[in-house]
Amino acid sequence: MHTKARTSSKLVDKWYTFHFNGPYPSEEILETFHGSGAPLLDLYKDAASEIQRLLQECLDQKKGFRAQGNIWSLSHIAHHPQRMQRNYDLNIKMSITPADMHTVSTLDHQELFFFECGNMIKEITNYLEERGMSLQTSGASNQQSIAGAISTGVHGSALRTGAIHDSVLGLNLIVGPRPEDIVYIERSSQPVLSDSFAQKIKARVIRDDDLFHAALVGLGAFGFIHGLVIKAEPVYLIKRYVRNIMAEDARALSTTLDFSKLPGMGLDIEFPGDDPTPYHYKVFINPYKTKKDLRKERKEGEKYLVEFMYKHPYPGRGTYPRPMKYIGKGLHHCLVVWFEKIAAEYNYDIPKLIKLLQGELFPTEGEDTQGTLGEIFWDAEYQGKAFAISFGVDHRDSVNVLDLLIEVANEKGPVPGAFALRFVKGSSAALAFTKYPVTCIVEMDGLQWDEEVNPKMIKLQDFLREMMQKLLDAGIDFTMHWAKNADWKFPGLSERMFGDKVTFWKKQRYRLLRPEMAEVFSNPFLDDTQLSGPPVPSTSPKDVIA
Amino acid sequence: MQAHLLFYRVRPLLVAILITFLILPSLQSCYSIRIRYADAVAEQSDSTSNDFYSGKKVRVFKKNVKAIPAVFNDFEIIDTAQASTRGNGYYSVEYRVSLGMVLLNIITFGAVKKANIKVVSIKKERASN
Repeated sequence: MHTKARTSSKLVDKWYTFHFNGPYPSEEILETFHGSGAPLLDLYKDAASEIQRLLQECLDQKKGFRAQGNIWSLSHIAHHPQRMQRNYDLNIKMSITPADMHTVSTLDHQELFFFECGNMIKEITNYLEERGMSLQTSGASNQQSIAGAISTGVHGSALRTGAIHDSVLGLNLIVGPRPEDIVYIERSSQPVLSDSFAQKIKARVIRDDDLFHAALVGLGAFGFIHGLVIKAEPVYLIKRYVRNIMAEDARALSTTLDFSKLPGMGLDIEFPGDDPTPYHYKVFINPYKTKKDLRKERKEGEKYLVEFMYKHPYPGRGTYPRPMKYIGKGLHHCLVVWFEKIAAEYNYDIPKLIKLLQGELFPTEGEDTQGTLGEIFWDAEYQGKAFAISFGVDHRDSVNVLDLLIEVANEKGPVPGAFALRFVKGSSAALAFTKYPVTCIVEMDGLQWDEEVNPKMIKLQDFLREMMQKLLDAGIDFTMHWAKNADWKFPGLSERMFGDKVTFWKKQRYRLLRPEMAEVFSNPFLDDTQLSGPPVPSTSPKDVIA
Repeated sequence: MQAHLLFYRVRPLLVAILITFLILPSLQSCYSIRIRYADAVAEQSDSTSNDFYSGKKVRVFKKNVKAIPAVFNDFEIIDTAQASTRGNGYYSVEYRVSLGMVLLNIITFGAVKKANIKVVSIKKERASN
């Protein structure tokens, strides 16, 4: 028997992110579920109708609406004080057939997949691996919803690949309650799917490079992302090496990304070919040094812990030891896991924790591991309070920025966190924070501290502002990860980060959305970042509102 | 021999008996085991907590221990090479025996033996070939 999609409602008064950032005031959380007893395509269209019903209600009742994804963001980007919607049940996955392909597309349909918004990254990697395929990259964990991950710019450290959203080739958005408000957007310069595919999901086709590049990292402001087309690649094995190397070498690698000297460094790494450039490169830095550390450095030289990953042909399940048990032990997979263990040992006494941090660098080199993308970037173990700050800078500025931020951590802190550098290929998305040819993400992850219990410590919000101000004073161009902690009310922040692209992004938004729907899809985060309103002056290019 | 001296003489024996029959079994039995299926995706909820179950839809129930093997049999079935993540079976199963349950077992001479079971199901999958 065919049952229709439905939505339940729960009244709430406050809301937290997964890592307990908040609380934020809120009224209602909606939860949408698929119906049953019908083919997947019918279930998909039925869910679209249900979303449109919710949007009509919001219009009628003058309420805002925001899909909250898997609440993995640490910023308040997923928050709305009125209606937030959970869609984890909307997890249809479809392969693309030759008949679905656009006639001019030269892409292999076997590498393309259509995913509904509520699919978690882990679901997608499982689904793809069963078919001998893999995502091109993922974040450090696998818990994000795919829609949330792309609209906030989740990235890994694949310096020749890009972020997750860079493998998205088409977006199915619901921008209002009318039939013509279901749209399928892709690049005009790269048509991928046929009009008949769009008709199957009752979507109006828009092929437009500008609109696509604006909506790709849309911050939840371009409507409800119902589904998307992703280009995958044949499944590969990642070999992962964690090594202590001389700091000057790690710093030179970071600023030059020239890995040609790596084979001569005696690191016992199996390179897959002639090119020693890794698929993934990451540097870990403890910002706090004791006198003992400094004495050791004078004697042996300063060292950084670094992580290299290389892609190899996939030999099949059962031919290598799966890495999860090592990842689960927190082999630098997620800094907060390490902090949590130490914090628990010291009964969350932050001053003692900091003292401990000052006397201890990261654990020594771990066992080498190997696995698929989904196995290496497996479940995050840490479930508690956390903060994370991520600056995006040109990789040539990476070391300068690191030094400046370490200065802030020592002068204004200390706070219970440590730094890492990751590197991601630039994106064509208008508001991708990975905007540089190769963006270095200078990040600080750590435990949230109780500001009342530790009144002598700097407040997180003040600490964030100090860091941002330090880079501005130094004249360094930077961006910030939309889903991480930052002083999002910093005056003119969006313009400082993205310049003219802010106006471009707003123009594209108002080409697609009617003003009343733009209001429905706005939220306090967009207000804080001054992105919610229309472009000024209002010289919008030809709109695509039906 | 005076009565109180007899008591002191036999007290170590009493303590030993207590340790043997009450405390040791309790210590040995107050434990929990959690098994997780590495490749599965948990059924989700909007709950947040500081532990493993944050964001997961948890079902908790008390079971007579005789029923527990059935739970684990189900889990073993999904953990085989033929297992799929298509919405059948369990993402995790936790078996926890509390001190109270152990004492109840002792008091009833083994007639009643219960355990707390925490189960997280696998998220239902909807996928075309």
